[in-house]
Amino acid sequence: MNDDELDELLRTMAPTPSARAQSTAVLVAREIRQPTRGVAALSGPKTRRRVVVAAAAAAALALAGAGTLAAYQLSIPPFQTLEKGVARSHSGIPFVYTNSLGRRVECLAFIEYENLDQQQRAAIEKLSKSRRWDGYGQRVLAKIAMPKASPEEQNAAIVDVIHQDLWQAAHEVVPSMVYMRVSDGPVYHGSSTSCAGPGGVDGRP
Amino acid sequence: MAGPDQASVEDAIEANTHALLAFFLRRTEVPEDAADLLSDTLLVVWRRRAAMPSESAEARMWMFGVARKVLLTQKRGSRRRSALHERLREELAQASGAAGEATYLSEVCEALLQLDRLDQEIIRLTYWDGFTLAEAARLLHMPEGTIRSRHHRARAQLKRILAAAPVSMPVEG
Repeated sequence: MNDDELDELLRTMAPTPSARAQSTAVLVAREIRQPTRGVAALSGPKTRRRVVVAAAAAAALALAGAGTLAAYQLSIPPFQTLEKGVARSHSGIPFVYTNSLGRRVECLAFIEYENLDQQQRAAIEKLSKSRRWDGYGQRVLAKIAMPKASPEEQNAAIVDVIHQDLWQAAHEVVPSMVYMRVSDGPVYHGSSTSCAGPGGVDGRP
Repeated sequence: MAGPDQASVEDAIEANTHALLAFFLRRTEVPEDAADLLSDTLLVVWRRRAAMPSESAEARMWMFGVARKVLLTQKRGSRRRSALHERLREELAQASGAAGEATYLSEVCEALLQLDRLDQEIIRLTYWDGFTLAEAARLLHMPEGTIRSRHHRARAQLKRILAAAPVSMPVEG
């Protein structure tokens, strides 16, 4: 094999996404930037410091470093809210836990859905009043069993558990709901959380 | 710094989305992870768009710089998912099991994995992602001379490895 053959081989052997995946990636990119009607739902109570965190941002936030974390979160613009056709529950499901720094982190979790009728939306809103959420944050913290992890890692793992728990809870009250699929019927589209601690989402000082 | 307007950011993202997805696909063991990394990267790009250079080649470099940082700080789980995002994950998973040139591909990839990690990345950046050596040096934050000599060494090493286990070139058409 001469140098030209090697160069040609290396160039042609680049793993490449399928045309279908590439098309979908463009749609994902457009979805991420799309400003929609979710903004109002996120403006929320003004009486407490409130930081909206779409969980997708977790890895990205690591770039910022602790010192600027809150600034990043507070600067989240509308594109990170909801896609067209998707709604978010107005009543947040509360969860509170004490992180690995011993700091209290107060959060609300929201269900995002599509194609729900009025009765189904009411059932989703009613979920936040359930007693099942009493002590929920600490239970999830115990479940992830990461007592020595960083506050960010704990928060990320907690959000993952909550995402699944909200799906189960939503499915119980809207049995026809499907999990994150494209459908004309009721869809559990995702979840988002909003946390406040002494220094922001993860409770860092 | 005012940064580029929304339309310019959208254009830059649209122009580089395929390349960014490919960039992640070439660096993840689980193909579906490329979907998560792409989403994370685009979120950061939007959030930090004020820092995006207005010139398109520089914007591309900047976006890949973000992509590399996202890759290096990748964390398990913790994502806001959407139906489209799940669809992309499924499509990446399906495609990985049906590549027509899988045999050739895996032989080259295995050869690549025998190189030093930095050398692997230099080869990926230059041959697969289409960066020049100077651009690769910028992305890796290393002197261009170092990248140039390591690139030369990595090619020679790859040639030896592939010669020991000959790879047939796929026939075009």
